[in-house]
Amino acid sequence: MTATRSLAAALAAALGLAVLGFLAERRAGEAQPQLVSRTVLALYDSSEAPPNADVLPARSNLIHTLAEMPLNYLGLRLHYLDVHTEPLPTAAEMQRYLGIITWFGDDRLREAEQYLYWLQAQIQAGKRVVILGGLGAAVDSERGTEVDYALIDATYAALGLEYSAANAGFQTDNPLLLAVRHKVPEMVEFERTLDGELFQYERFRSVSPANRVYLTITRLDRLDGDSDVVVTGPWGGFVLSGYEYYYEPRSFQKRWRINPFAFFEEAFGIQGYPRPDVSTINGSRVFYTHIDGDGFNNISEIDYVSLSAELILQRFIKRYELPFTVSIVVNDIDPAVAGGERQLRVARELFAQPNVEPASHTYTHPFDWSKPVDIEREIKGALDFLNERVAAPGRPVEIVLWSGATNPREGAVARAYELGLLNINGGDGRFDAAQNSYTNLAPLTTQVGKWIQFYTSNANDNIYGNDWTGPYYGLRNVIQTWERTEAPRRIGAMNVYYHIFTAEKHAAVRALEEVYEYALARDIAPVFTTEYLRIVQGFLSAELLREGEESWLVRNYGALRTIRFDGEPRFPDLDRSQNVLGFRHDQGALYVFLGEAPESRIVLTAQPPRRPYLALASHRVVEWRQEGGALTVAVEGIGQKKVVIGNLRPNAEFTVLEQADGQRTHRLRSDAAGQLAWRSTVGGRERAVVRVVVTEALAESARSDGA
Amino acid sequence: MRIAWPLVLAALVSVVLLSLYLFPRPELLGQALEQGGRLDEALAYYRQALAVNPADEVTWMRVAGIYQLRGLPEPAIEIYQHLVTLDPQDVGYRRTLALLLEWSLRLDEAAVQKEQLAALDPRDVVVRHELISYYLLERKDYAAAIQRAEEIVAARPQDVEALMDLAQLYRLTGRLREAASASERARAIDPTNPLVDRGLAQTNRWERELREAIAQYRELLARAPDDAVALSNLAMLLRRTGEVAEAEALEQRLAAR
Repeated sequence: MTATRSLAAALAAALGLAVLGFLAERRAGEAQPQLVSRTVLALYDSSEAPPNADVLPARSNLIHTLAEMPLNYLGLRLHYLDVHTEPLPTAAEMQRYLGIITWFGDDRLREAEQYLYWLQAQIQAGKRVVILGGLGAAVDSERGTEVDYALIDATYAALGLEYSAANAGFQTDNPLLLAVRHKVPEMVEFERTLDGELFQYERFRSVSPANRVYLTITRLDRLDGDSDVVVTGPWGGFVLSGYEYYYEPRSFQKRWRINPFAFFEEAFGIQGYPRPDVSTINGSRVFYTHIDGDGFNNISEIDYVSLSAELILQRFIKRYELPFTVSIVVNDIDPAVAGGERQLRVARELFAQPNVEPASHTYTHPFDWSKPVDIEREIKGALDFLNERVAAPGRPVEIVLWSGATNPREGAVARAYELGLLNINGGDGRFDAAQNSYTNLAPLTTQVGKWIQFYTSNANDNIYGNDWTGPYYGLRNVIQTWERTEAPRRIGAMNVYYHIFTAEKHAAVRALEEVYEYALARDIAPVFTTEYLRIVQGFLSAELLREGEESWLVRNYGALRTIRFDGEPRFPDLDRSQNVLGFRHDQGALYVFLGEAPESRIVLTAQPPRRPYLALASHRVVEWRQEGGALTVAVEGIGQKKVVIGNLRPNAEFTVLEQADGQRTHRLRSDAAGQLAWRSTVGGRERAVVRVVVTEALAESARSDGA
Repeated sequence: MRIAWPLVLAALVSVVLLSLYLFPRPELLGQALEQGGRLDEALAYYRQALAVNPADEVTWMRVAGIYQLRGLPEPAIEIYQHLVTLDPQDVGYRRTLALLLEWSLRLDEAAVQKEQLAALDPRDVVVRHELISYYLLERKDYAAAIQRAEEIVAARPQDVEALMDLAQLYRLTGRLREAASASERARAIDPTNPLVDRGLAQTNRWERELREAIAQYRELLARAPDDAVALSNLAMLLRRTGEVAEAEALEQRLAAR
């Protein structure tokens, strides 16, 4: 009996050890998170850019102007490389990239054959390659020689595509000979149908069973005329020229033919991946204002007495409990140039406002940075003047707003970085009835040499006002862009961007009021422009580590606080996740809200959470505690605060303590879904932390769980 | 008795001026106030004037102008919509209305007004160019775009660019004979323009390729009448040349297989 017991005990111990070993091994397996690259190498050819263009080739190529915005939306960042002037990366350098995108404008390339060998090597190494238009490497641009046909065919073969360069792909431009054989409209007719608009043909045959063909056209004068012109595969994606986008030459407008969101997601193999998201803080849409300093001294038509700067101060900054980033052109206030005591007084008052972030709009407002510019004076000189003579103590200028054509060269951006300044302008995205396409939305940034120029999220009053010739109320149209970038997918922040001269005009002032009233009626997360830019920096630096099918580790995200999962009906597992405050499902996407910790773990589960979570907040959450039955949330920022807690007892009353300068007690009722919404009774233009304590939250929730 | 006419005239002018001073016309007061930037008061006087004379188009325009200055395009649009009913032939009202609608992102309504403008002035090339852009971009209506391009050519028959533009639209929609004809007209005007030659060559090549393809399939089907791909391709090609009856017959053969 004893022996039997001993044997049983030994077996149990062995079994226990085995189980523990298995669990340990499993944990060890889980503990090997894999870094997933988010960086795409964007190859462009600067020799295709028009000579002496005022915009850098890295900014004028099609990858930047069209593809980068949707790629950013998908959580990807781009690193641009000029194949005309820079060497192709080595295998070791390629380690950092998820894949490659090319969208060349012609077939000429420097060292074209070496390029094709290199490209094949990348495909073989498992890098995702997205080729839009064509390979772009049929002719060596320096030697003027044609590339070996076999090499071109072999490169396409690496994509699972059969092609005959010797026959020039059997190409034709005759639309009368072309017809659609097969199409997936959701993928290839996103903003424009193909009917009557087949203008390009080369014959590509998808020969790999792993490929997915979204568009097959046929050449009617050939019995073997079928051509697969929109294809994805485990290697990436390919779209023949003419089938990526439509261009209308009279209005210079473009429309996507492919669905860039779906196409790039599939081509880069990032379905289900977490996306660092700059549009949202705790479910609310990021909102920021920045004002270019132009027109500081313009007398306003509103009273024919005030400077426009004075009216901006009175009509907007003192009126709205929102953060404003206000820039000044130093020339306008420098008594040695166009300024004087009145200008300095107004400038100081502007910069002293608690809801104003001071900014530089350079010294003399260069209109074209591609022309000779005194960078030291424009960047450092302006900064010194503003900090020494205008800025309030302890609140120095931390940002420069590029002037004129917003086309700074590397030296200017580098100087801003050296001085610790953030920078913005350029971009000017618009998506409305007059510019009715995602192609008009800008990416988050542009690369200027090794530096980053940050783009605005929306266009400004001068653009909407046709270079300020009217309509002066044009800025009200930004609302339509906000609406079209809110649904069916939320893209980017809401940005009110205008010039001080907007206060010259009744119509412009009214439009601006309309714009602010619209924004204030929505769930926005108001931030200063530098805060927004730090979120974008967080987007650029964020690292994703996959820990398993359901678990991701996110780190290095700086000020970014939202991770989005597209097409994700699941929930974050609040017990197993770390630094996750809450979440929101919106338009098919799961928005996960991160706390202040530098690293977060997001574990997804099909089970809805059982404990309270943050369902929405208007500002950054700087404290989130659940202890002793109480739930404490502290939010920080300017203006009226709002917090919504989810998963409380439905239709129940709660005591809510609001702690800021004093304490107020509220009795609030949760809704039928168990959500409790609190809105601060006071706002204010000062940056403030407001703490909200829901005293019986956890007990109520536990009762709910019990029920 | 001699009548002192200068005195009588002076007296009459004085009476008029005095009456204007004592009983000023509201629209004149409105103008004076508007010029002084007192827009709300100006608006009130204009409203008074319009109550007396609702057909006073100039005052309506002034009211619309104030609404625009105030950043209120919707009532300004309503006024111009009223003005075009008062004077349907007035090109200025309609152009302003179209512009205001466009600025308010009401593009379809703006296009309706531009259509009216085009009808009012057969020589208005600018509005036709705008309509072509609208039809191509927003409506994808090549037929409507071509109609406007034809009107531009009719208004400016010696305009080579207009002819080339028209030829291009014909070409893209498969109207190759008309494309060639437009190109030939352009070449007659500017025989040295290489772009015209290139367009004409392209048209002729497309036409030739189309005919050759049709001939090739007819020959093939004579040898292999059941070749499904040939039947299908030929039917589609014939539809593009307008030979619909033969295309339908081929499609029936294909369906019967």
